Amino acid sequence: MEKLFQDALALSAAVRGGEVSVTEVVEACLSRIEKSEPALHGFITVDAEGALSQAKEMQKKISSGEMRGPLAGVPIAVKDNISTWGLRTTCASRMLADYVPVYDATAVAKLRDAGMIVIGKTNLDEFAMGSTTETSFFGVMKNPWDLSRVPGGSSGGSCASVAAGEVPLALGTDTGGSIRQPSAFCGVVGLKPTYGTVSRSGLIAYASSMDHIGTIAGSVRECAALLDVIAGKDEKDSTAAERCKQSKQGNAYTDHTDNTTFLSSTSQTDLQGMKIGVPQQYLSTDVNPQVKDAVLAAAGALTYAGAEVEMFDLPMTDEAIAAYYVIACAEASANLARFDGVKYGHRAASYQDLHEMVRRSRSEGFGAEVKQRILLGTYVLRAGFYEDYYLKAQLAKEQIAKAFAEAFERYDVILTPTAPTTAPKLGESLADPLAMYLGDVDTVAVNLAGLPAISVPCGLDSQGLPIGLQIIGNHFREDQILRVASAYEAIRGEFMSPCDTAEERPS
Amino acid sequence: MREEIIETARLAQLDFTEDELTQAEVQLGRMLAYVNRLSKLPAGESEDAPAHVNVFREDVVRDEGLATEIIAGAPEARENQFVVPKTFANE
Amino acid sequence: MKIYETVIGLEVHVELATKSKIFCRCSTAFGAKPNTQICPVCAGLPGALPVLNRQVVEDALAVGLAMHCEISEVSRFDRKNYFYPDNPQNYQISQLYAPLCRNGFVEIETTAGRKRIGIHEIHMEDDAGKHLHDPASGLTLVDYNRSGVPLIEIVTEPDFANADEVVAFLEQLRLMVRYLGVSDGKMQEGSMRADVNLSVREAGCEVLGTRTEMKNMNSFAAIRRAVTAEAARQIAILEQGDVVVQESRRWDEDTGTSYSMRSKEDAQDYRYFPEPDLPPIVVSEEWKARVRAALPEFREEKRARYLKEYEIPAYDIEILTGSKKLADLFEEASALCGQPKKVSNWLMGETMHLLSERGLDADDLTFSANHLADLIGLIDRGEIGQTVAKQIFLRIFKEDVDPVAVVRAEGLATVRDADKLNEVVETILHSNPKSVQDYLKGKTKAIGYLVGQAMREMKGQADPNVIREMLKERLEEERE
Repeated sequence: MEKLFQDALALSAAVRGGEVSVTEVVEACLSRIEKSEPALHGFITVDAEGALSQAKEMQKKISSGEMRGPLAGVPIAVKDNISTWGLRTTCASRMLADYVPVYDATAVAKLRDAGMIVIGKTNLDEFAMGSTTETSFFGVMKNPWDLSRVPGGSSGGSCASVAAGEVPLALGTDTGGSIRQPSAFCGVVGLKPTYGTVSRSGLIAYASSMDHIGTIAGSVRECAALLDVIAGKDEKDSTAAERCKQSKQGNAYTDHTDNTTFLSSTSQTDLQGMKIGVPQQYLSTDVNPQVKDAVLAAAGALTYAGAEVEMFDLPMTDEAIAAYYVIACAEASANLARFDGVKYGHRAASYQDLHEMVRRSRSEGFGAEVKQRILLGTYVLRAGFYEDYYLKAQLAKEQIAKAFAEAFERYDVILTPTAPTTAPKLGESLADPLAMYLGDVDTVAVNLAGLPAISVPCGLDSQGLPIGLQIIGNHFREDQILRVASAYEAIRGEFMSPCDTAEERPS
Repeated sequence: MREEIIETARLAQLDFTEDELTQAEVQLGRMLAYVNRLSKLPAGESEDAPAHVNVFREDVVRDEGLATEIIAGAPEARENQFVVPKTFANE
Repeated sequence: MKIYETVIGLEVHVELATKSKIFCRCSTAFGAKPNTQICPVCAGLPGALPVLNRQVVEDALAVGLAMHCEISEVSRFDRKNYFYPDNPQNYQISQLYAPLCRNGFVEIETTAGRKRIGIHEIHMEDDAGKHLHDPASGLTLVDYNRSGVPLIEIVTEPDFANADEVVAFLEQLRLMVRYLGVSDGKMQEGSMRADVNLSVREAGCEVLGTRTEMKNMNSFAAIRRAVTAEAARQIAILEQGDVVVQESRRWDEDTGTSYSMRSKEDAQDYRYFPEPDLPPIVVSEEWKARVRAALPEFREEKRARYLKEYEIPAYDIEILTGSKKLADLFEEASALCGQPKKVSNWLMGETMHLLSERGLDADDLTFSANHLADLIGLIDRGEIGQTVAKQIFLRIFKEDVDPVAVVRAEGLATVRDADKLNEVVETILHSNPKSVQDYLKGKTKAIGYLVGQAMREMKGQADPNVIREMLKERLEEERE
């Protein structure tokens, strides 16, 4: 079982081959979670009952041959801002502490259709606003590599639970780096696809134009296979992309509905002819020197596989964080306006009139960071400020997209560190929010441009903390980044997990 | 600045304590100073034609069958309607 | 005494009669129990996303093109942010920066002749839910059935000068949307709502005065009264040397006055920004051409055409063109039987009478033109008389029966058989000796009574002139 948990595809093959039952797998998963949780606190809700009953159902379908997909029978954790029908979805907020969705997010429905078992909901920064998972109403999460440190955020729970071996796979969300950065800090693989690849229906919105659902696993192959399950156009999401058309650059590309799967891109590890660019702005003096070294070493390794790597100049890097926060907070201020105690969620206990009820419910329901971002977002949309902030941010967003587009005319993929540092200590970041925001420098531009990107572990620093390598591709070119990521994995070899079994974990 | 924040908080229907307001003033001030770097970009709208356009659905009714569950999730309901306290200036 | 002129602009919301809502598939049908026509999207549940109903765009384009508007090449939705419980997301999805239609015009008929009213813009948006205040409990109850019903908002230029012009425009708009079939435009039912923006200034002054916005007028009559009252109120203020306050006012039809809407919490800043969940709309030339080609002939053109083509009075034309259904019936039936005057008479007479009796609208008519045409044919050929015709028409009105088939099946044709008629004549003469005597004594009018009796006996299935002649003959025979 231990070995099986290290590879979801092998696990599913074993289940479908009758070597092990779905129930056994789920029970093993639940016991691992039980052992790790007191120390880690990666889950907000563990649905033991539901998972076991799903397991029974799934076993029937697998035994009868009805369910044959490559991930059938595999348990998965879902970040708690993605709606799961009948299972509490809290966004790590007091506002939704008891909220039970009446419908499944499309991505979750697809998981179930593929025979996967939703084991529980993972911890996150409140409403996905944060980079450390420290703003969760349900308690702080720890990094399994070092329990005095943060796992990163906002998908901290999803990444840490995979890193700690609690679950083989997880879904996360990424608006400014929230899958990639915690994947880097936790030493796992995190994939954020092109904007619109996975339906946002059921994802409780933070910043609509930059929210993505993505995949987290121990290896590139598993991430790709999971993306195959959840990707696809959805009639419920008008922004879900039509992948059957030419990208602006006129490249041919993968359309997964067309028998070409994301998984198939992970088998090619020869990078002959591939051009890789490393933007010098991303390796500036603000980057931790060990991170920088690891990334450069990885770049070197890729030339070994046949790629051409060179440094280049990527403009507009300076404006990315500013543009990101203005747009994200503006959209968030409107997306979170629906939480008013009227239809669902937290309602204040006492009030004199409607407005007081709404204000109290919101002020009691939201944490400090959320309130701050709503405030900033409301401010930049105000009459008199809209042109100065919001419109300028949109302009910057476009120019950032253009800068990447031009870069992709010369390079197939772009290589950067996933984060300028490794995992900080608990409590360090919240003291200086602006500094914390600046830590997103390596990831936000990608969200502004809607590009696909993957983070792959590329080493440990002197304190034994994982370092992440980010590979960015052009729109709809997940095939390229998966190819490079797989090649890198092959060269790098096994990446250790914090500890192979739960028993060895420091507590 | 404080006045601006109080007004912004009112628009966002959020209450802040005095301490929170002070903190917000500092934070927001720093954030706005930081994002001010955007001002060096020239003014004007984008000329790019949008790529993803015209996503429609046909005018067909479909009952998702969720109405009962939705009202059942209300913090307070009466006669199948959501209950809210009276606004002091009722329309 | 100074002379003042009034400057008025309108913001009219028209509810579109699509089957499903603008951003979700819930039904828009009226009269359902509260919160039974809702889904995650229109109830504002977390994670739910809007998807645009194509028919709403088609309808909005039709109205825009009918009002001679320019159609924006690229049009977008924007979020209008404000907190109110009947607004489940606490933002409305509307269009501010790039509305679908702009810069159009409509021509209205006024006592002073034709006048052009500028249309500033037309845009699409979603309607809010309904809230009901329950005085007994002091609570407010919210129903989201109407949340998400599609609306178009038509904003005019401030080109109106008085209440007559405003009402003329609204009547024309109402007819237009009914002709297009996109809305039933009923103010009383709320499918058409008008807000009036009004200011006054001294005649000849170029600067606009401070304007107020007036809401809650539920009929054309109420609008007329509200416009008149508000102009007077503002003039009175200026006459006193005071300043008009820019505000929203609510019209109270019962008292015939308006009062300032106590602002809930001071000014609103809607913080409009582009709706990130909806891609922009690009209207191609082909699409525009298709919509334009499908536009019906509107009332004005129809009226002009009828005046030329049909020899019927102008008054009849007014009534017939007042409803597209009625006009279509008229044209079709006239084409079939070639008797426009007779068709018009049936429509203006019996039809209108039956509609009013039942409290119905011309647009509710369900009978077919060919049945009306057939009925007229039967009368023309003398196969049935007026009384029978009227009875059959009622059945056409109610059940759209086929008159030819009915006459044949039920033997309702006018009897022409001489023997049969003679029989009846004899019977009538025998049973009414007094009338016979009266006639023979010189009261020629008595024959009328006998004719009536004979017709009654025949259940109207006889030609009264023929009966009269036959009676006369027999009576004269009696004389000898």
